[in-house]
Amino acid sequence: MPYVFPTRLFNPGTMNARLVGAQQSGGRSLSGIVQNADLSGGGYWVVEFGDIALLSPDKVLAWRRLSAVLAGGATPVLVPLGDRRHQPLSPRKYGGIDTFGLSTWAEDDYWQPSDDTPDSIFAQGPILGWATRTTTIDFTYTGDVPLVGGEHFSLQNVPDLGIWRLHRIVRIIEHSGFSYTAEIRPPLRTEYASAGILMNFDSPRCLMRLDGDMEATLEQLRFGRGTVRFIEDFPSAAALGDDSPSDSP
Amino acid sequence: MSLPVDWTGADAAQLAAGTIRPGVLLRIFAPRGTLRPIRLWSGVGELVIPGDDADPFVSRFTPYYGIGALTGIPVVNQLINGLAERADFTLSAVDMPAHLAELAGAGASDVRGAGVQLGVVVFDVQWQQIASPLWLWRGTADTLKIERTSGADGEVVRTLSLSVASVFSGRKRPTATFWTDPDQRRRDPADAYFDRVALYYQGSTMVWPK
Repeated sequence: MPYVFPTRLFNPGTMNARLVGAQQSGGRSLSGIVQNADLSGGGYWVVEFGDIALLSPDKVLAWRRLSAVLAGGATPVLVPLGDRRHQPLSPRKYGGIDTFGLSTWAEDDYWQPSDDTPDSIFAQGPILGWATRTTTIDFTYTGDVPLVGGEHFSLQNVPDLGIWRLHRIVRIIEHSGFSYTAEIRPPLRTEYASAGILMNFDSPRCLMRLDGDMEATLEQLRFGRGTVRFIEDFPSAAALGDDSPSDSP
Repeated sequence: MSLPVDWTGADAAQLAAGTIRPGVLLRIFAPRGTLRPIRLWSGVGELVIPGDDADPFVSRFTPYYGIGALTGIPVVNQLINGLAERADFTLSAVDMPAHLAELAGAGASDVRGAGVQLGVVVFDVQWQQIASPLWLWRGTADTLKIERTSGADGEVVRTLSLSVASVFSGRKRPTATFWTDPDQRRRDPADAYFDRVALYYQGSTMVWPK
């Protein structure tokens, strides 16, 4: 299991989760109209946390431990967005029930957070199966707060449980009763054939890796202020079943 | 060489839009059969497209990989003024699928002659594939080299570049020159059949009888 970035412990001042594509322009034409091409196939996630106030020794030490273990991006890490206010949850504040991302690096939580599953299961899919790279998914949703689009959710890669993928609901296409059909971005990273996949709206997270350094300069040897940037991590292709016997030379 | 392209149908309409969503596909077929086909594309994540006659074994277990592996696509041309064309594909040597690592680890003789095809697949607004991929260009792999460059800030970049020749690239190479003594001796050191060929050139005088 990968490490966890304790977003809620650090309580960052700013958070920015965005989907980065690879848009290229063909140059300005004589008419002034520019045609763009997006070669990214849907893009990847970049999450930036800024203005992280390291005001207590435990936060400073947690920051130092983490920056050592993440090795400048070589080690993947689960990054919870810590953005409960904009999730379809009630109450929208943290009530102490969700401790993911609040890890203070106790031994139990170091590798595998004990609360890796959502507190309440109110969204599950698929109803009919989701193919790889689909952007229209069907699921059952029994939450109290209606979905409006813009919410994040995470899906766990089924054989490799450490791999969580982050998705964002773009719009609800239709719903009747508890069964919903929604459009999402980015396209699904893998196939989900069987039902019973949890859609984690409680604590959306993504397997990412550091981009750059975890910088925090101590002032007066007491307080620090940190900024960190993560990009989505993709495990090596070999780990995802690359050596399947069904491939004939 | 460039293949005939038929831009009609839904993909043509999509390509006329303000923002187009193409995916560039690259597949490499090793000539020996020991190396498995390598499938890469320009996007993020895995892409499963239906197999075709040339490559029927695409499945969700053997998809096109797009994990930042393909870093550069060269400009490929039609045959213009008879200019033979060669293209260099740049691949990341760090983030490579196992198949690509096999290719990098293989001997030069295994790489040479591998079939390389470059194609385009078009997606709609929802990133769904709307037509079969069009294979635009076909070449033959020539040489493979791994480069390591380090930037000013200490960042090390490793790339793998594959030089691909088109069918016209070898045109100026001399054809087989079998009818000389050195060539024949290379085939069979004891064969002196072309021993006296060097004496026969235009304007030589044969003295006979001696």
